[in-house]
Amino acid sequence: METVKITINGQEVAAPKGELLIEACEMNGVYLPRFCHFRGLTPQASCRMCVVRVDNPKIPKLQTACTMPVSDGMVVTTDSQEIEEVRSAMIEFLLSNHPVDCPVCDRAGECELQDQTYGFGEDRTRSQYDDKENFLERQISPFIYNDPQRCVVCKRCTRVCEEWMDEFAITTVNRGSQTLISSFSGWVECSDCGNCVDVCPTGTLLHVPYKYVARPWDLKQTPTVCNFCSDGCSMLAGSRSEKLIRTVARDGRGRTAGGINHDFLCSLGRYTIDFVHNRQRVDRPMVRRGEHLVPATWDEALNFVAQRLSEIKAQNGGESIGVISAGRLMNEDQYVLRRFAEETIGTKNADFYHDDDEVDLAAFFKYGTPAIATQEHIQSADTILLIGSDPNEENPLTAFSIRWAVRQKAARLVIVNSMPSRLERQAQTAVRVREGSEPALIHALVDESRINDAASAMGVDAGQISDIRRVLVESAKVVVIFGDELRSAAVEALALLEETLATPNPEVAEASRKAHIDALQRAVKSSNSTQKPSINENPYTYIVEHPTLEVAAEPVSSATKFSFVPLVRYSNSMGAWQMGLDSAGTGGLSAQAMINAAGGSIKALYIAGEDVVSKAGGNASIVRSQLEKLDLLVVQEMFLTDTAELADVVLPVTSFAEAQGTQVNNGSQVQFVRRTIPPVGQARPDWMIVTQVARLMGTDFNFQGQLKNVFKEIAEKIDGYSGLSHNLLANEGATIIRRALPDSGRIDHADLHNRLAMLTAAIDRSVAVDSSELTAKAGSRLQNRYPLITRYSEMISPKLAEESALEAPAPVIFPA
Amino acid sequence: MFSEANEKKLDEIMTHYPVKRSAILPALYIAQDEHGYVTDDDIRYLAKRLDMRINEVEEVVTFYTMYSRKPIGKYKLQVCRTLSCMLMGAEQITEHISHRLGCGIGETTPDGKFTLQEVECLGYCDLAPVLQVNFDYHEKVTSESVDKVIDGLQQK
Amino acid sequence: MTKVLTNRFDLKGGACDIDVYLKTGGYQALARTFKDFTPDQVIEEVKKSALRGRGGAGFPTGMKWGFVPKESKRPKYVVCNADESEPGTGKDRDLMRYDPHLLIEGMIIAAYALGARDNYIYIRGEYWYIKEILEKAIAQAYERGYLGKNVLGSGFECNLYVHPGAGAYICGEETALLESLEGKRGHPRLKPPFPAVVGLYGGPTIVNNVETLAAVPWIIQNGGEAYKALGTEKSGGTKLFTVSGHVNRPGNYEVAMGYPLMSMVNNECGGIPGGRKLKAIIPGGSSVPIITAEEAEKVNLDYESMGTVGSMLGSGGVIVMDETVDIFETTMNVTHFYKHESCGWCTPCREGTRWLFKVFERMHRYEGRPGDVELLYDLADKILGKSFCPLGDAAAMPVQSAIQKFRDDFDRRIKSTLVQINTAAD
Ligand SMILES: Cc1cc2nc3c(=O)[nH]c(=O)nc-3n(C[C@H](O)[C@H](O)[C@H](O)COP(=O)(O)O)c2cc1C
Ligand code: SF4
Ligand code: FES
Repeated sequence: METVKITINGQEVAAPKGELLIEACEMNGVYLPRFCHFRGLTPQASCRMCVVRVDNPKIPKLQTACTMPVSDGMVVTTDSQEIEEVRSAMIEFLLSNHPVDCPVCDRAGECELQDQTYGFGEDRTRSQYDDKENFLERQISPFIYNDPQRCVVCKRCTRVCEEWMDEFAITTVNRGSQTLISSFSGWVECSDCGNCVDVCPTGTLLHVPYKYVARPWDLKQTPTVCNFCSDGCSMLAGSRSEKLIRTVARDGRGRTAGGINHDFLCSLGRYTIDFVHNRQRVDRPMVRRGEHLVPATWDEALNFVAQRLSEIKAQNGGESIGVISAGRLMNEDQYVLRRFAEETIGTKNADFYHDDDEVDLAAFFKYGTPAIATQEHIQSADTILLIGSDPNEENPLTAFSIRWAVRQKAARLVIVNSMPSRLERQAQTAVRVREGSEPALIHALVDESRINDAASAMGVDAGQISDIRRVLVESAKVVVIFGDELRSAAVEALALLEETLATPNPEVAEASRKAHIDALQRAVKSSNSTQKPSINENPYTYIVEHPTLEVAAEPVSSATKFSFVPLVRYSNSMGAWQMGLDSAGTGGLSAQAMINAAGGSIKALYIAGEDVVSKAGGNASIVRSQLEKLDLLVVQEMFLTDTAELADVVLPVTSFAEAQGTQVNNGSQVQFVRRTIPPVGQARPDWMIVTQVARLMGTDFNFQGQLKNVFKEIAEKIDGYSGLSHNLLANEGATIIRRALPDSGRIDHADLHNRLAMLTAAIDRSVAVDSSELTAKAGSRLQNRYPLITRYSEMISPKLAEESALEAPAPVIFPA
Repeated sequence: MFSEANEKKLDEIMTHYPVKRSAILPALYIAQDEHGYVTDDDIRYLAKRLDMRINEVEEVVTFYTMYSRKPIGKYKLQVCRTLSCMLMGAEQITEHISHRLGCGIGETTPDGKFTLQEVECLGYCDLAPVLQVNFDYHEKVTSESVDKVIDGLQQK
Repeated sequence: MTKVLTNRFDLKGGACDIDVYLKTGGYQALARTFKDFTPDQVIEEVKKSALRGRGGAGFPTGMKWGFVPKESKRPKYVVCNADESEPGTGKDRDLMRYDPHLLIEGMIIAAYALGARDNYIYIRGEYWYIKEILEKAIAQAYERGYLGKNVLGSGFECNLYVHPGAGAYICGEETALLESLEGKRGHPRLKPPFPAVVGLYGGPTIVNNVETLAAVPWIIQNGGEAYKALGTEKSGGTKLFTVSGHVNRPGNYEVAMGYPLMSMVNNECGGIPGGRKLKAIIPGGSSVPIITAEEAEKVNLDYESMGTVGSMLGSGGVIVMDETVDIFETTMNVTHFYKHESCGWCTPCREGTRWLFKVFERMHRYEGRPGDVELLYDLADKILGKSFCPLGDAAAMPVQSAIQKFRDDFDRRIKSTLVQINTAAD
């Protein structure tokens, strides 16, 4: 990274070339006050708080540090009487029409206006109450409350909505002193991510569920990790009196260390957490007495389970018992379950539940572990190839990172997909293909001679596919993000990309990148705002003329040209696989096969955290009748799910908020999940229950009831974990699990190509290509994916039912 | 959405710019011309037509004072209130019209014919005071000349 | 006196018709440009003329044109600023309605000098009928081959469009104007980059006032030196002034730069009505500092002389106020204007103008509190020089200068201390 020398208040320091002065100051320990500046958003220089004096080059007027890139030899003063005067004047202005109603404002305590008034303002004001102009407060969405009089018009919210989320659901209306944050109808239709509320420095935008619920200083803030999709956002969980109250994003670079998601969180991570305290939580063990599940003590329940399992094992052998876990359980749970299956039960039938239509990790890792890309890699990629899936719907943080890369780094985004996606707006090339034909793309990429055939299978022009291939060949770094649309051989064949589309020489890569940026600069598309907000919306703030932060930072890149993000489905699918709770590794039956064999070779199932009945969708009744054939069904669950209702024993478990442990996201980063609140009712963590059952059955895992001992063993036994500990992860934040790269010597090329050809040949070429536009609101697919949780979230669920018919409710206007 | 003639006009205007949304200001005049004010449907329609998002149209409409998001009178009587006109007695003119029509500043007469507005400098400072009726000007107005203008409009 | 701009004002119906324009020497400068000038030579000639921007800032026009990069990946544009919304100014209005072709000719020459194919006139929405006059004139110019694919057979393509604004003073600020022209809210842009480098649709763009562009044909015809010689050493040429307020013959007058202010008031405008005395003059549109009658006596109409009395030539809107005027009221009126027109982007302008007006309001009711005059002055001080664009300054300068020079008018608005104490005790 190129650095320059600058002088801040007489001290010479180093700063990354092209970095904004305000950030460069902060890196060097000088905090400049600000409202409108927010790392990663287009500069706007409207609050005028960050003024500094620049003496070299000599500039007569005070300058805003948030818009000034540093240059070598720059000399700045950030503290002087004239600067202080401006700052306190701006604070006074901002407070001149502000209601100063901190005692009843939810933001008080973490309000930037409050903090900066203390830090940089005066202790008096000359504006009087009758000077003020009133604006009514009102609710503007199911989740957002708006009190316009507190607004400082920093427009962080509207920029976040547009630049991060590509929603543009809120904006500013009117002008001058009447400027308000609002929208077309006054009611905000969006994916309800709530990021606008989080970045708001004042109490203007507030979370409806959190309104009047707690004061920030009353909250215990616990850094933890979200439990929904596989992106694994870091967050801060706020709790009070043993109750989880809210979650906010954990900024990796600012407020608390170690976050992977900047200040980003999606609607699920933010608003579904109320499921934790849902009254329907199973709060004590239940055992079946005839028709009914009735409460029991832990001793009764555990003894019953141990005794029945032992009996069945004795009668039919260990192989008659199956163990199934959910992809969202933590590493420690998965690991203990695996040992439980192997050692206590003595069965190979152990699997974390994954459907056929989920990303096939076994195939992906068949020859070793390809370089896996983290969010940071995505954000600094040259080229991003997205195959299948729609991260905007299912992996919101990944979608955020893609938009970031396009906007801040002019990354090329290539999408090959059979469904519409909002991300197409950011794409340089978006190719809509026949449903189910995505694997043919891989075939064409690893074997140039198959382009024509593959293109016809996909229902597109061969030229488009060669163009994509050419872009990949000419790129220096490519991140491939793929969903479950890629199957078996196509997933395996990703390992061939590195050798087929080798790194071009640096000049070719450079030239191709230049050409891309030039094209962006020239292209003033007729639809400048909707298609490529990053480039055409603000041609003049585009990176080349106006560095926005990231330009200067060292790009994060993988050792290989290609790196991958497998969009697995659950928060710890990757971890479950790494822990070896996978039938592909154990050689036993898969979860589905176990269910199919129920009543036959399988007599008992031990299911931890998976609602296999609901998961079966249309086949729910078949699965139900299969489960009914079992001699014993043990379910560890938070709720009486459709599966739990069939169980002989239901053991209540802790939710992510009450448990501790580690989980691995789709970027193969392991993160530490902290306990935020004590267990609800008598719930116990999954691993602990399993250990107890095992002990009753005669195996002592020797963890001494300590979770950290489980992880210690994981660190010793599991590839890539050595040297890690809870302590380390808790302090260092997300840590990449590294394993040996694929060994191409192990690939049977001829066979793989053969199987690819079969995949391509099997594509039904009569299917029409879907060219529809996306109309549903973003994020609904994500919500449907996690019914187990969303169903029990009162914030989210009532909406699910209404979703289709939904007419916007009239905004609730409260008297000011 | 608009009359055929206006649609044609909009098509023609769009050829002036390399970017569709540049035509939004002229297009909003057309909408206002057709419906008397900018309706919700106009906004939805123009967003589609000019490849903008609905909120982008809304934020533009509310920024400029010459568009109205609410129904207003058939004739907008706008008296300039800024310095040169004020010096030449604009206030009395406004008062006079207000009395005559029985409606306050910013209000519309019950028959929906007139809306009385005070506006900022219209660029006729040397011909002050000035009254603008929709797009027509009346320079150096007096109570009498204003009366005549209103008489004329009332007959229409 | 030599007239540069207003030669055709006295023709009946002006020179809206192209034949009238041609008969009176129109489009000859354009013909000459193609014959005798390379684009660079046009710029040189304009530099020689010492022509300074007539939109308010007075930036040397030739120098501005020189900033446009020769090579550009994006198209270049010439944009005429016909937003004319500075209170007290109505000169561009007459230029366009009496002599639209003069502006058109000036724009074509500018477009040729800079290599711009598509060009726009951004006219304030309130000038709708002038927009129609311009459009007619442009259509005629296309017909006669002054605009279009091949201007006068030179191979140069030039198009001209009129774009209406919609009621926003801020859109007179050049970058806000460009935003507006792109179909957005009229918020000013961050500078640098300046429009000459990154402007409309990201391409290099020259924004010039109507009057500035209208002076170009004369400069081409008669030479830069000749133009310069019309005015003073530093302020070349002539300038059009709008005189309004308390004079017998308000109107637009073209005079040579350096002409004494009072001569214009007394001669051209026929003095102050009713034999009343002069109290104050705002010499350059409402945003410039006000000057007293004494100061008015010694000042000439050029950039430098105006500086000596702490004011500016601005947009050339001369507002004359006689002794009956209360400067408090006029300043309040102007403050209302800037509060209404603040775009709301930056803190000092948005909040400052609102607060200023609130204080004015109570003083207006004779309920001013002791210290309110100082408060006004100080608030203006905290806006001045701290806002994102010069609109903040435009709001602050009138307040400060009025308080400095006409303090009595303000003090009268403060409630007596006794009453103040009584209310405080309530
Ligand atoms: C708040 C503000 C309003 C302005 N309004 C106008 C205007 O109405 N007309 C105009 O020609 N210039 C106006 N200007 C000046 C323009 O920004 C710009 O300097 C001018 O158009 C350049 O043209 P010129 O060099 O020919 O003067 C305004 C500037 C500011 C800061
Ligand atoms: S609502 Fe909050 S984030 Fe948005 S402009 Fe106002 S203060 Fe800024
Ligand atoms: S942080 Fe720089 S102006 Fe707001």
